[in-house]
Amino acid sequence: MNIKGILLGYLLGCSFVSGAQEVGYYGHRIFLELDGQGQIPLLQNVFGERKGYVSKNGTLNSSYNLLDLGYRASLNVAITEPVGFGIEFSQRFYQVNLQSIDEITRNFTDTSGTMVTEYLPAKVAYLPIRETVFMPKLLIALNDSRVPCGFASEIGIGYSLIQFPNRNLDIELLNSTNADQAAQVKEKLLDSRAEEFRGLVFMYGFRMNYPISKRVLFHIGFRYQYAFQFSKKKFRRMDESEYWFSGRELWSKVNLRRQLGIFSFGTGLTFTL
Amino acid sequence: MTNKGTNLLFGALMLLFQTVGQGDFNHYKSLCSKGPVPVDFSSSTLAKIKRDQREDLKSLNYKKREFFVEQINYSIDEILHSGNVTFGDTISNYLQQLGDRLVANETDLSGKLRFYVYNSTEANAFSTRQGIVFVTTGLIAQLTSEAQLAFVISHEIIHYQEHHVLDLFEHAIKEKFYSYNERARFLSNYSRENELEADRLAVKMVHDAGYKSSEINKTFDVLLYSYLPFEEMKLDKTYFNTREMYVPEMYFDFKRNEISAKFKYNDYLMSHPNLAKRKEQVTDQIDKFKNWDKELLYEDSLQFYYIRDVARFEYVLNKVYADEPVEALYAIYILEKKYPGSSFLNTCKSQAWLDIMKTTIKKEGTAYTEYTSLNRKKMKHHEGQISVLNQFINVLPKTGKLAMGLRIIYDVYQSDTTNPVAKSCYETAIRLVVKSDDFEPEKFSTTNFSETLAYLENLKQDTSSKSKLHAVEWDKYTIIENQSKGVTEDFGIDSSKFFMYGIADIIRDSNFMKEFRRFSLEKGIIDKDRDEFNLMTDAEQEEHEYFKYDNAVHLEMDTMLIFQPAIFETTRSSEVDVYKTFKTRDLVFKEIYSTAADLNIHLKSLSLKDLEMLRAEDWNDYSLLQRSLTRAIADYENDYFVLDIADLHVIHSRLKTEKLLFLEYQHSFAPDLYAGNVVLFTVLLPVGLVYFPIALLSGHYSDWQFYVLDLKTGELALERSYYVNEPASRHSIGSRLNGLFHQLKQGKE
Repeated sequence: MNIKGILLGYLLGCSFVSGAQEVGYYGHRIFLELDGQGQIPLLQNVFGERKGYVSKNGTLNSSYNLLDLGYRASLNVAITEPVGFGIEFSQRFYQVNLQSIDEITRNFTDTSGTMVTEYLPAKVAYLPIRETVFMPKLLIALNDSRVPCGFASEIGIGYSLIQFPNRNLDIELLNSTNADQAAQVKEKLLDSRAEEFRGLVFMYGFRMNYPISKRVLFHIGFRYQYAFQFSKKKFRRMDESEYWFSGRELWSKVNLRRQLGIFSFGTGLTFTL
Repeated sequence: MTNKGTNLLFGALMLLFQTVGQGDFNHYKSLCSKGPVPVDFSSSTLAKIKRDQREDLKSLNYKKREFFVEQINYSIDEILHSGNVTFGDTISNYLQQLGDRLVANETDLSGKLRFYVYNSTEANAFSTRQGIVFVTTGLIAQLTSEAQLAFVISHEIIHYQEHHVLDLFEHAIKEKFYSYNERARFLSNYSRENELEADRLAVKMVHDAGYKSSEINKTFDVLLYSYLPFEEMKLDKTYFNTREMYVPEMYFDFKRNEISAKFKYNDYLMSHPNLAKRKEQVTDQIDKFKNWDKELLYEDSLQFYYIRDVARFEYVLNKVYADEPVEALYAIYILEKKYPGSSFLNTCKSQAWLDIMKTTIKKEGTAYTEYTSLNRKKMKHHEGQISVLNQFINVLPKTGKLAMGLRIIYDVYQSDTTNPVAKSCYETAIRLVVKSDDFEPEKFSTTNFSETLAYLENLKQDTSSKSKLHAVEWDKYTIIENQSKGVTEDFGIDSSKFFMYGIADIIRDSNFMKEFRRFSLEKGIIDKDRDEFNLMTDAEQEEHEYFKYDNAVHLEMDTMLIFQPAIFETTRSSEVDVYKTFKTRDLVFKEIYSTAADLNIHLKSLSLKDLEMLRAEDWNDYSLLQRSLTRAIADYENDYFVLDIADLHVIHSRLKTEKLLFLEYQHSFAPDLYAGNVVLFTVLLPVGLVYFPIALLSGHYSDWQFYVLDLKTGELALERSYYVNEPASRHSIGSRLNGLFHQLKQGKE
């Protein structure tokens, strides 16, 4: 069954939930949550990476890797007073610094069978990433709170689709002003096999839900997540590639970035239906 | 001072008054507020804080001054609104007269002091900065003369006059660099100085009022021994004997426990100096008035003794409510000497015996309870003559306690079958004996002790019968059977089983047996359910219990009486934040009404929200319900407490609502962030990243308690508690109430 089918089934299921008033918020058991999420990618800046580059007015300027924002939307149902279940859709936008030093390299065997190894001093802009997650989750209210009001934990496992919305990264060759060379490098910059990755997200979060009105609540909370990425074997082979950034390198860089981005902040509104 | 003629006239009037009073004591009604409501009661705490004159507080800075005013007004109002304080009643009026007389020469105090009785068995008196003097019924019950009461009141007036409360507060906050122990020591020392000063000046006040000096020092004896009952009276060995019940005298041969209180005790860290020091100082002070006892003295008014009896009747009632049956029974024993056949004392006696019976039943088959609370209760140490009564009751076996209780409760009911409380006690007693595994009517003798004794004597005289009887050999099982019935192998009565011959007439009473069988049938159904439950699997039992718990809240409540909620907003240091408390209180009221309106629940309210609208009758209802609730909450299985049932019925029929909802709510915002853990988790940042957000977001602590009291039965129909990490906001409160009210409105499945 595809995702659309699952969602449709879930929505239908929610619509059959009994209207018993004992559970939920002012008797409303179904609630929609809309959130913004973000994080200061502290860990990867401290432990993971040196500064990368962002393009500004056609030139690449050194910058910390600060972009990590997203939104979430989920449809939930309170099953019992302290427990709720929901399906969440989220998209998260962040970026990866592909370079460890201001140099790009490649190593491959050309058509004549000669092993080619190239080193090129260059700056490459951050690789933007869009991660889309579908996540079933459980909301568990702490102590005697009633979902969706009060302090609650949330736990979920999500399916991630990691995509690169802009593969045409800005580069700047340090020892050359040849525009053709730069164009050639850009053409072969990212391995075309690594078009997207898939993975899982194991999430635990907690948040405080402050009621604003009889239908709307404001919530604020934090999430910790462990990201797992599929196709490790496929992309971690020591393959040769004429691309400056092979599939292996992309896989590892994205994987590392996801691992370090474990802690995020989220806030939003809950609407009871 | 008064002349002899006036004295005689006053005495005669008081005697008459007391005679009328005695009539009242037979059908005694608990202390009630009467007349116009004093401003102390009708003003809100916030209004009092606003009105408070802060002139005497100039020594404090603004913050401390405001804190002091808020806290002191709030705490005194908590006492005034506790349901234990009455106004316009006999005792309060008497105290006011006495107090006014004591300050007659003190122009600065004229019209400033208000006196109220505080209904409690504790012997205590205290004054407040606002000029209110409280005296407990427990203290009045213990005093032996009006002069002693005058001394106690004078002592409290001096505390007020000398601003001791403020001195103490100033002293408590003065040295912030002292350690906690240092502060406690200095404060205690300071407080003791204040007490001695109050004693010294009180002596003069009592002298000026014309009381005898000899009575003053006795006050300290009263205070020292106030933990004992109000009289030391030897228990009459025939007290429990009636035509139908004989209790052998050997049961009263216990040695009474020695009275252990001493005048000289270590008063280190105590707020009051030890009584020996106080007594010594007062003696010196009295000696300074050389001609005291030669002066024309004021005679103690006879009204004092009437007032004291009122206080003693309240003492009995309070002991019954406090589930201290031995203390209640001993006090009843003392009062019965003066007021034999008092209907009030009889019903209190019935209730006290129900308490004993219930405790006996509770112990059956519950190993856990056996060794914990019930055992502690049983082991409570008594000193003096009351210890003999306590030992007698303790030594009685379960069946004995049940039979004695039934006997006494039956007799009380038979003495006045129109008394609804006596009737309820009687029915409850039958329910209790039915519930017990130790009570089998067929095992009890159908002839009483003396009849059986006479019968056996005749039998022994009759040689032919005797030989016949001896010819019957008892096997092991017959011996055991007969032993349980109190028959010895030589056809005598085992006097330790006297109770087996004590309810013969009750067993023969067809009405009793009819009721007994009716309750037995009900018990049979319960037992069947229990057996079915025992045969369930663990999962089924869990489901059953869950369903039962869930269903218990479905009380089909379309109307309810909202009782004054107990709401507290506290700070991190557990002090009440007065303004926030009142804000939250208003919020809760608003949400209660709004939720009830949404769910179409009809509300009646008995609260202190609109204080100025309350009349004396409302305050009396409030006190009664407060008392009943306190008792019901203290003992969830309150189905045997019926003393207040008639009064509750009156409220029930007047308000036309069966159920009362009482809620307690306490909220504080105190995130678990202290210097230590902030430093630690900042260093250990990864842990801190988890810890700090959790600590901040879960820093709200809200504690809810809901109680539903059934006004028809006097039982607690529901008790629910919820502990949540939510702010005290409108919709947090509203959604919680919405959920609960909806559940309460539903009918049982």
